[in-house]
Amino acid sequence: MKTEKLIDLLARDGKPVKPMQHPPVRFAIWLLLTSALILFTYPAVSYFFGHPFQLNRDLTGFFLLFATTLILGFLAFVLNSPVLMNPILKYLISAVFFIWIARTIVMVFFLEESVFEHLMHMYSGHPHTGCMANTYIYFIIPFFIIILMLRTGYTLDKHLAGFYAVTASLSIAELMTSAMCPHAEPLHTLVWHIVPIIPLPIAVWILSEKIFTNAK
Amino acid sequence: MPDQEAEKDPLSSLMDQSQKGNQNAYKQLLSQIQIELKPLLIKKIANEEDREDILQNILIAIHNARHSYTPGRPFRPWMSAIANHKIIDYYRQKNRQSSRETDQEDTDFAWNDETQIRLETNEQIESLLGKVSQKQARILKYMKLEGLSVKETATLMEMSVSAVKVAAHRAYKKLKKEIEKES
Repeated sequence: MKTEKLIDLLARDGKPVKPMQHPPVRFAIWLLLTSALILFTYPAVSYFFGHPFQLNRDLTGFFLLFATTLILGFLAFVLNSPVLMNPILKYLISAVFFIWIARTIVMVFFLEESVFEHLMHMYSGHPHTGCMANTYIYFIIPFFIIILMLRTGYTLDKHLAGFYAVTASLSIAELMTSAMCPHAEPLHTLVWHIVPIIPLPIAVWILSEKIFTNAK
Repeated sequence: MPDQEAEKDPLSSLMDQSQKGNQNAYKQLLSQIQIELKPLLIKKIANEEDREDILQNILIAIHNARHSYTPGRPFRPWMSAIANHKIIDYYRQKNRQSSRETDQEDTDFAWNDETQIRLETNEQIESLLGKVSQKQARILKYMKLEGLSVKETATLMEMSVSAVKVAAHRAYKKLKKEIEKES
């Protein structure tokens, strides 16, 4: 087909469209909706989980997770419309989430004694599946909303946008779980908070082409 | 607040009107994009047919993404992001295709070697190289004596993979005839 003919066809198909809102506005909507739904589900989850919310236990950890939510969540919306961005910067930013993971690993191996003994005991003893369930519940809420919102845009870098969306949602989930979890030890965080979520970013990275393909 | 740069940019205002459903403005915008992108595509893509295909892909992508343009913002960075992405996609696809082709071609040549010409020693090959053109001789030398792949030979000869394949095939045919004549 000749390009001129294609232009004619596209022009004839040029029906009115509603322009997307600015990324900061969409990001704020996502954050508000997520917060509202988390507040709504909190009484039920905390009833089963049985522990009060306490944010003052590991302030650095909470700060890192909150920063990850803000930075990567915002960038997921920035990448939701065609944008020129430095490719190195795009990948460097993803490191924010790994700072929190790396910090936990360092704390486990440098601050705890007889790590492997504790590790064996942790897996063979009473499993803390409550933390896992809590993380997954608080992951699904923001992730579901962000994916629905991102599918209305036009993402060029699908893998990276998917990765930003999943890590921003996981940060919220980890923030909630850490605040509601009775165990403050880094080894517990590593085994029951971090290890169970590893498949999620990988799965989303693999599926991101499909997640965004049917987008408008 | 709309950017001052965007206010002056005719493409931005055409896009604003296109989003409102003005088909004339949209046609004008697409034609203008076609003109603006041509120098970039000429610079980045050698093959004329591929260039036309990519231009059409970019126009279709712009059409599908037009709701994601924020009115009042500069239009060119938005358009360039789509164009660059499509060009990178083209090179990725081309690389994948070319590596598949090269694998296939290497297999073809292995088959040709076994069935068409059975040459025992390097001396035998070298003695036959004078019977083909210089270019063909160089290709055969790289592939038979040096053991290079089609792709490596193409890089050395500054030729395309398919051109090397054709030249080598002709050389093999010629050599086969020569061997048959001698025997």
